[in-house]
Amino acid sequence: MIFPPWTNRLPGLLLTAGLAAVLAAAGGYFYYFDAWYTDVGYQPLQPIPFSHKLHAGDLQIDCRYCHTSVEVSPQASIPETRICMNCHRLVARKSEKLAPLRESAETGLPIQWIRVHKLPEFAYFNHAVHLRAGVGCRSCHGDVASMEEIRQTRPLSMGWCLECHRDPVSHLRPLSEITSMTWEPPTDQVRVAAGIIKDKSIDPATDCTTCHR
Amino acid sequence: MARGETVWRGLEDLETPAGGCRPAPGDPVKGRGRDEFKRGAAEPPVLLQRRTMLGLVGASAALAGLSSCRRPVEKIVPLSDAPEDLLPGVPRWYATSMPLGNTAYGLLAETHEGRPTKIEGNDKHPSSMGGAGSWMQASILDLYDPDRSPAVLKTVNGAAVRSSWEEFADFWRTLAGRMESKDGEGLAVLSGESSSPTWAAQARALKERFPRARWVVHDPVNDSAVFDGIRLATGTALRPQYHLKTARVVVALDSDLLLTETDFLRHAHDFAAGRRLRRPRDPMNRLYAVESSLSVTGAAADERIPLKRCLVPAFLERLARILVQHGLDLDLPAGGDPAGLSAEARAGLERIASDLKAAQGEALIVAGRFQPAAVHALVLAINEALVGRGKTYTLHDLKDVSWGHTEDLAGLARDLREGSVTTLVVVDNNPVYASPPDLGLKDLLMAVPHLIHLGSHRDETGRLAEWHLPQSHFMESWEMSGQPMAPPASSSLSSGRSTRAAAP
Repeated sequence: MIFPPWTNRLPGLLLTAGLAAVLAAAGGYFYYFDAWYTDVGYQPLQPIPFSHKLHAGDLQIDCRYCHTSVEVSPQASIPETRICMNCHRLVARKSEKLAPLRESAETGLPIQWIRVHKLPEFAYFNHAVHLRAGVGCRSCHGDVASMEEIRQTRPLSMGWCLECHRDPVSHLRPLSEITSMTWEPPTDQVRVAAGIIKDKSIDPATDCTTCHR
Repeated sequence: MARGETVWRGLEDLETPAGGCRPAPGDPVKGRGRDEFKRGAAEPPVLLQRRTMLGLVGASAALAGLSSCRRPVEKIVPLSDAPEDLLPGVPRWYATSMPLGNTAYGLLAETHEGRPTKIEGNDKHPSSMGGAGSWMQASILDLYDPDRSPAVLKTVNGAAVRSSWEEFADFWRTLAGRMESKDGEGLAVLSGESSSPTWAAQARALKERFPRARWVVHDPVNDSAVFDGIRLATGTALRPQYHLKTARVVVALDSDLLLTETDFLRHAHDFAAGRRLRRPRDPMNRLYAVESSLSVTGAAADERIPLKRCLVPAFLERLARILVQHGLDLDLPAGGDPAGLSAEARAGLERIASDLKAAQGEALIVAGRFQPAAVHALVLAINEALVGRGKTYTLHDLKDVSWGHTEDLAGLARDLREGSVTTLVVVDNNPVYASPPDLGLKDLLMAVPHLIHLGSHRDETGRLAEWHLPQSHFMESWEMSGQPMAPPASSSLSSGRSTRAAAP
């Protein structure tokens, strides 16, 4: 007798353990490496502690005052120093937190903001097209006006984009409500959205070349 | 414990080992009976050495770094003070013109955030008619060429030393002051061809300040034979413009007028227009190409006659005689049948001649820039007699065009050798590379006391120059009718500004 009796149970144990390990690995991968886990909640420290809650929330400054090109350009622009200085020439002139801003205004060197919402290079996204269709800022960026520090609230993954592309009804709103953080779809949203879709001939493509150009 | 070993059950086993054999006094006792601890317990560990321990510590530290294995930080850097209507992501189009040799081509440049990214032709501009050739497209790459000179460079002991415009200005002011007292004696300027009125004005200002200075214009590829030929025929040097839209028969003699000759964009556009048939019976133009090596014009031609370049004058002479036989009013000196033409060429000649005669006022003969002036003179004479000015071709004043002959370089070389030129300013030119080698310009330029070079790259001439000044790209400067749409890369100067620096 070379093997002790307890080794009889070994093959079964190994199989079960192996299966469990593979399932755990796969489950771990699909959970921990999904965009919902890796990207949502990304809240990097910015060079200036800019508070959207103060500016967009309490002061009710419209998103487009600073993000000027969002309705005409594929990129939504981060405001240049001059836009900030429009107010901060007079407001909070001596604030310590705004020292980098004042330095940027004097020297002409731009502020290096940390990018929060990033799509991979092989995917193309056009802000202007989405805004013109009626997708609100909140649909993808969350309730920005309540954030002290800007963070990512949606995974921006392909599957998540396709969800809306396949059924945009709940995300379409009249153009006047694009930047509203409090708009809720009305009870007859299906009908209203159908009207918007018809008026603007909205037909969000789901084929590859829409985004993978 | 290994199998078969006894297990202590009590202190008695400590004294009496299993098997009943008591060790005799004096016998060596193996570990378990007498020692409390296993053998070697009191010694330092052997299995885990210091080296292994350090390795494990290092690995743990490295793996601990995995916790920072996260997505790299990416920055968004907006401008600090953007122009009012600059929208990132939205391209902005500028009209510009690209100087090339003795002409310029109107283009449209697409810019993104102030950086030109694509060139298109300007369909409202007669020089490009919406087309842009390979040089035009490549000019974008020229703009971003990392080998462009980054700053004013001084050559000290053969090596390039960074300097500044201020330093050069100081140097020049001193030197210019000395030369001014001699009315510019000893100063020579060598520049490339240009059609810029700004440049011409600056050149005049310079000549006013330094009346005895020499100005040599040289470009290795130039149309001087064309201008000279027209001067032979008419008495004044004029620039021809061809209007292929109105031509039914075009004969290109060693002329790649669709790709490399001056005004090629417009020629290509007009030629194509003459071949666009809307109905089957519409008239179509006909192109004969006589050339020695393959060219786009030859490929597009309805009939291509291969002929050595040196035989083209003979070909043209025979063509002229046949046309005269057919009744063309042309004053030709007496002469016989030129030798050297093949049977194929002769057959082609007959066809060309009869076609030209039939087309009469809608014909055009064009000769290329590498043909001698005599050929151009004869071509013009035939065109004048056959077609008449104003229809398929026109002649224009060479107002602000600066052009020159390769022979002028020989004069400059002679002056350099004699020592009568002590300061040579080379603008947008590379004579060390592009001049005939038997002039020996390289050695002469090495020996000249002051050599100043304005160019986009520190090329062969720039490396010999005492001062190498970076030249602006045409998209960075206001020269000609172009407008700058990109700030000059690292303090380069357009050739226009450089003469202004010299002239005041």
